[in-house]
Amino acid sequence: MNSANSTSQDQFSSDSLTDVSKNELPPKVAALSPTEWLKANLFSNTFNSILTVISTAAILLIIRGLLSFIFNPLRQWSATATNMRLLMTQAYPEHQYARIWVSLGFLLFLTGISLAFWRAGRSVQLSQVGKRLLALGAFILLATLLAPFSNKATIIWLIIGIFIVGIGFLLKPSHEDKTVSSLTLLSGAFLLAILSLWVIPYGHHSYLSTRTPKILAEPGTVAMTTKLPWTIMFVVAMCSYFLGSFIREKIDETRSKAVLSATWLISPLFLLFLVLRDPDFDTGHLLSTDIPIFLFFSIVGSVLLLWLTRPDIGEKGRVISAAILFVGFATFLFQMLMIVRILTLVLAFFALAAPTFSGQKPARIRYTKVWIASMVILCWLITAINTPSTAKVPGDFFIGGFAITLMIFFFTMVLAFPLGVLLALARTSKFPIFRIISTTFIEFIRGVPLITILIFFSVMVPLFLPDGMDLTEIAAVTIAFIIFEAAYLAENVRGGLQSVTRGQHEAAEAVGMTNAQKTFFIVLPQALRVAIPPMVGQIIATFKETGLLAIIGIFDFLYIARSVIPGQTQYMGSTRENLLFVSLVYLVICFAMSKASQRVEKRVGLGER
Amino acid sequence: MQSPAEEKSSTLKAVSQRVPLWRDVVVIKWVTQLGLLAVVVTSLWFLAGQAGDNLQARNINTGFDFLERPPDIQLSEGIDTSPATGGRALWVGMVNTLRMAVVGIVFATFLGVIVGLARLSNNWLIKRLAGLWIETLRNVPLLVQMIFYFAVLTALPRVSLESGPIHGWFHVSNKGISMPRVFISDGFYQWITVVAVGCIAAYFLKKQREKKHDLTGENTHAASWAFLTVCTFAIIGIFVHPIFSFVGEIFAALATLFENIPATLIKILISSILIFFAARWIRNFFASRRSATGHLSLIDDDIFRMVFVGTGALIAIIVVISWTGISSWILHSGRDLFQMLEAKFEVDGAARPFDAMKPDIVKPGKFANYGKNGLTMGPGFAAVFFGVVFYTSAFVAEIIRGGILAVPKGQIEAGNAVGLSRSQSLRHIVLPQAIRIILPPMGNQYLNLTKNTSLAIAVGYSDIVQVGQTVYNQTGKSLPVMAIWMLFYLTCSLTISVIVNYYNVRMKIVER
Amino acid sequence: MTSKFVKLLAVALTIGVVAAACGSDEEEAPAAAPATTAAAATAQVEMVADGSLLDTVQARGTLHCGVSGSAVAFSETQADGSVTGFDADYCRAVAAAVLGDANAVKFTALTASERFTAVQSGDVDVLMRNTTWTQSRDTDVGMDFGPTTYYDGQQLMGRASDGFTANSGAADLEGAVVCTNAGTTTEKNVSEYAKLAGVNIELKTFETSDEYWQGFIDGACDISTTDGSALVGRKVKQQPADEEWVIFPATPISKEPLGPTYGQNDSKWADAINWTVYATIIADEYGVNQSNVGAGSSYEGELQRLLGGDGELQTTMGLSADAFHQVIKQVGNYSDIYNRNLNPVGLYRDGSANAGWKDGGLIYAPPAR
Repeated sequence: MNSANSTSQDQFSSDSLTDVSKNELPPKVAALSPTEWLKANLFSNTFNSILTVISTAAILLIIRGLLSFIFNPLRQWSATATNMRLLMTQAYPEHQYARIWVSLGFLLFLTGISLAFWRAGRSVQLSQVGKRLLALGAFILLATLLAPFSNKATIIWLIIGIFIVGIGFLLKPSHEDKTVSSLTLLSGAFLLAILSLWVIPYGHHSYLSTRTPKILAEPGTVAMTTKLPWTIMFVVAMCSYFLGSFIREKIDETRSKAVLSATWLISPLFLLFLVLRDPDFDTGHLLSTDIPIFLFFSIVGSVLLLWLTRPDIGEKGRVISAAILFVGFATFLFQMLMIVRILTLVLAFFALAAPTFSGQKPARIRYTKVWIASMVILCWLITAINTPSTAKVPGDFFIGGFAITLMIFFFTMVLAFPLGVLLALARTSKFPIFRIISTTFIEFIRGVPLITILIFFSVMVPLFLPDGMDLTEIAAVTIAFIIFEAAYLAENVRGGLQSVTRGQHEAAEAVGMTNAQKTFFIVLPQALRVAIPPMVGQIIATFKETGLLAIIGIFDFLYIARSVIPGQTQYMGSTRENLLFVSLVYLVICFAMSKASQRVEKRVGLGER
Repeated sequence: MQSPAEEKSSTLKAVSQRVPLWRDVVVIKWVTQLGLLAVVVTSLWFLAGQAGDNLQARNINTGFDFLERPPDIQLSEGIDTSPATGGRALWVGMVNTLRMAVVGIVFATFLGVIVGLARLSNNWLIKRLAGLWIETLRNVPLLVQMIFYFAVLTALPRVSLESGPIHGWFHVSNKGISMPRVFISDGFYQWITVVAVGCIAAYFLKKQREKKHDLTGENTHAASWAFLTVCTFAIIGIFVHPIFSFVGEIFAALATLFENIPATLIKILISSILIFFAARWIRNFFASRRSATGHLSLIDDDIFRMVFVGTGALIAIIVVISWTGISSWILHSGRDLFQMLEAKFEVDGAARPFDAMKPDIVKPGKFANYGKNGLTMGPGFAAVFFGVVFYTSAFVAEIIRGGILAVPKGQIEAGNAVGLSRSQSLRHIVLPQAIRIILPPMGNQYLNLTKNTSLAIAVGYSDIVQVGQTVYNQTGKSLPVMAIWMLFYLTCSLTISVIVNYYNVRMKIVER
Repeated sequence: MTSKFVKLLAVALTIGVVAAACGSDEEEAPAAAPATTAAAATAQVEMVADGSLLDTVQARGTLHCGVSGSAVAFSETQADGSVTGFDADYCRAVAAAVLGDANAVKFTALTASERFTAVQSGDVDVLMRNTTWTQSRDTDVGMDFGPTTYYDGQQLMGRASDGFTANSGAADLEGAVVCTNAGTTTEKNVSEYAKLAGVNIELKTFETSDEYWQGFIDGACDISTTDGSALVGRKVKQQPADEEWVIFPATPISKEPLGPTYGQNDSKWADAINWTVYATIIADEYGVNQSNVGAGSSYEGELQRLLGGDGELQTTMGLSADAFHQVIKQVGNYSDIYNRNLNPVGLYRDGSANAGWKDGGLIYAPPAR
């Protein structure tokens, strides 16, 4: 808690405003002596002095209140510690927990490689680091004096504080040119955290369903099942970073970056439905149904698309695509496997889009490749989802807790984005009926609170489904999130679309592009660039809104903390501890995201044009 | 969009060389659109039919009769804590939501402006504190914050007779926060009539002063004069307001009028208004499409617009005529409104327009509680209030800061150069420019705040969602309750959008 | 070039996932290929109206059971994600009877206010969420109720320091802030109770029970009211050392018969659930419990019929002959279930309304003949 608080405070000084002013100033400003600095910044006039005194008193009171809350012996922190697995993944079976670690490891691996490829991180002056450490140390010292610690704990914390202050003093006078990468600092902090798992006696908490009492809480370091995987995670992240920077030089960077981006998009699906869900594939069914369907659609579709993307195809292509679309809708009138219907519809959309991507042979082959790739992913996904899972859990869904928060967040973002773009295009289109439908939809969704939409979907959706069709609550709620966020993203994208100048449209028309080509290759890329900052804001908002799942009783992070753990016989009345933990996690993640978005904003170079 | 002239030439060409139907842009365009419309309508129809079947199969009754029946629930806060009918309960919830939204908007704006300015302060500690405030509050989900505030509020000391309000004015305990209450008293409506007269007077005075300013160029302080006039009237009104009790008679007459109008007249009135507007719109539309020489040419979109407006008006008229309830509802509510206003004016001369009371603590049985005198917000209200106000204030602060920073420094320097004081340049140069940038995102924040009050369900404040949930839980009518929710929030959102848009437009006119 | 490829792929992928998400679950339905023509759909609706949920559940292989998921001793979600408690055990009992496997249960956690809609919309097959059997729920809300598994009654809890004793009554409530769960019968009961006594109370309702308990402990609520069982549990666990909590009045202010709840007009499904509950009670009357239950043929008379020695009654019901034998073996009899879950929170059968009818309680089952 201490460290988290102070990090957030620390990072403050790197906030955009001060950054800008710092960059503008010449690097060497005559350093003010402490008294001068105080006079200039805190006591410049009577009003400022009064403000300073009052706010200092307020800060001290708040810190003291928070600390005495946290370290009150009445707090049941063991409720949070024992239920950590429940908070993170709910009922995911313990003997299959390796799957969780594999998934996390894979994501960290991707992160490491991506960091290396995009050359993330910036150089931080050592003297800056020294200053931050000084501030951190001072904060720890202050907090230690305010906190209701025992003598022993006070001494330990004082030593830690003095140690950090000492390092800060050593680093502070170091030379201007001495810099260190922010990534190094980050991994250093990560390493320290991991080391502390092995050294510091946080306490060993676990839940054993096979004995009484079922709760095991004894002093010592955390359980091996926690510290060992985390150490491996750290090693994986480090290795992947070095691997990334090693192979970065060897291969074509643009292409591999593209592959990496695609992997980022696909891997959560892969991890969720293959690694975590572990579908119990039935070979007979695979060979007799799934693979033949896949082969049929990819071969027939490839041939068709190769032909449809010929530049001289003309009206015939349009008629044929319309026919396929019609057939696609017609399949719903007959008994048929759902997968066939879906694939026919997808084929129809590909056929309709074909003229947009028509061109010379390489372009046509590329389009066909995309078709085959999407067939692979689609068929595999549908098959995987339709196969029962081996992860046997008592609840509705195979994961819960923080994992389900992340999962719904991921699906919402990935699916709301295209829907939002479509809605924005429809809203700005020349076609009045499209405009009316889209505007009505967007304004309706934006006009009502998310919670009413969520309640509606979680409670009412089964009533609207045809018989025999059954949508799990999680799926229904995810759809609710998707349409809600899509309406908001659509407005962001619309802002971007309106910023694309008339000249761009005219230029595209002048070189003979079709409407679709103009939209996809000229207008959208520019519009999306402009829309990045508001969209990132929307993404952060979405992440915070996942907390609303708790109100409709989905076992998400907040619900487990607020209702489930306090409902256990052993931990009645432990709401506040868990809530504090949850708000800390949300705070750290959202804060990191908003910092990252400020960086992205600067990188994209908005506001400077 | 094609200009009429182009369209004309293409139609001419079409005569000589007819484009096949499937290549005609207009045909393709409309076939696609109608196709999509058909798909959307069919799917909605299918879903609705499915829902109807399922509801029937599961014996779920979706009537609105529960609005008339006793709901057997008690609400924790609101104008009526044991409502007699389901409709009344929902109404109490709506009032609670609106109350929270209005109070929240006012305080969030106030606090947001302070924090935003503090963020720009030259006091290092204040600047950092404002930064900490913004980053912490906007990065923790509102729901988590609300629950947390609630937990903190309930941990405050218990209320008792001995503890007493702080100097009789302000009191905080785990039963809520109680403060002095200023409330409108019996004479208020007469007084407000005086003030209205004052406003009219001030308007003319302001006009006159401005005219003088334009003629002579001297500073005539038109706004201050107008303000002073209104204040004078308000003060005088406190003493002389009983002279306006005759206004009640006018309202009584209006109420009688509403009672005697036949319902058919209302139907005819509404229909003719609708027809009038549609016709006027179409006429204006024709006028705008007419070229200078008076030649009229319409493209497909124009025809669609006219058909759309015409059909819309027709459907509205059919609804008004066939739905008999609506016109009598208008009549009844109009009559009730005027009767209520009439009653407000039937006050004897001694009544004061305002009154105020200190908070009090009563102990009727074993328990000390806040009495009715003070303005008390319970822990639920306080948790939602602090939640939405703090959360929104962080966003408002960022908007304010962005708006002020967006005004180029040169503007202030220019103001200084022509000798304006700091406050003058802030008032006349920075703020007018900043407000243009600030207003649209502020409108969005107000919308968000209103919708965010729905999270009150998590801390037990009786807003529309919480009451609605309780009601459908007792009666099993979930679908109608949800429909009411959506309708209510849509109305609120639209109202706020309209207000904000109005100001946006006004600001633009003022600016240029 | 490649980046365009990625963009295309992304678009294609997302379209696909939407389609997959929409379509996937349809295939999970037991009917191999659902017919969706308009005519077929209506036909199916009619068919389901005739067919029983029992067949659906047996075809599906799992029981969807609605519980609270956060009700102390009735349905707790443990740190490893498992669901335990009195209600949870009755879900398992039904699964054991209907499917032969006590673990073939999918627990759906429901909030108090969404539980009935969940049954109506078919999200859950049966509700075991300490739901009180009331006339309005039976008629207006469209539920049907099974035999009561737990006889509860609403009581109130106050502090001894406020002058409450076990004999306190409605008259002592004047001016109290009373806290309870939203969307439950307790709300209605306590306001009626106060109205009858002519006292004014302020009722505050909360979505989750832990919130109002926190309010009570902190003193924001003067009185806390809910089913007596929960009051006892909370008192045992949460009463601070320097305070004394008092439960009153001695006779509960309401009757709260809690039991399984299911959708209306499906008597085959109702029979299966009702007789599962009766079987646990009858086994308890004979002293047959989880540890000593033997095969049905080793018993005589009623037990023989019930435990599957002569199983034609069960098979007529659409269950397997040894269905109830499985219930007792895998989950236990009424006493097993009760003692396992409720003794730890200070609730005992002896002397309560939940003692067997021979011991002066209300737990009674019709004969299995």
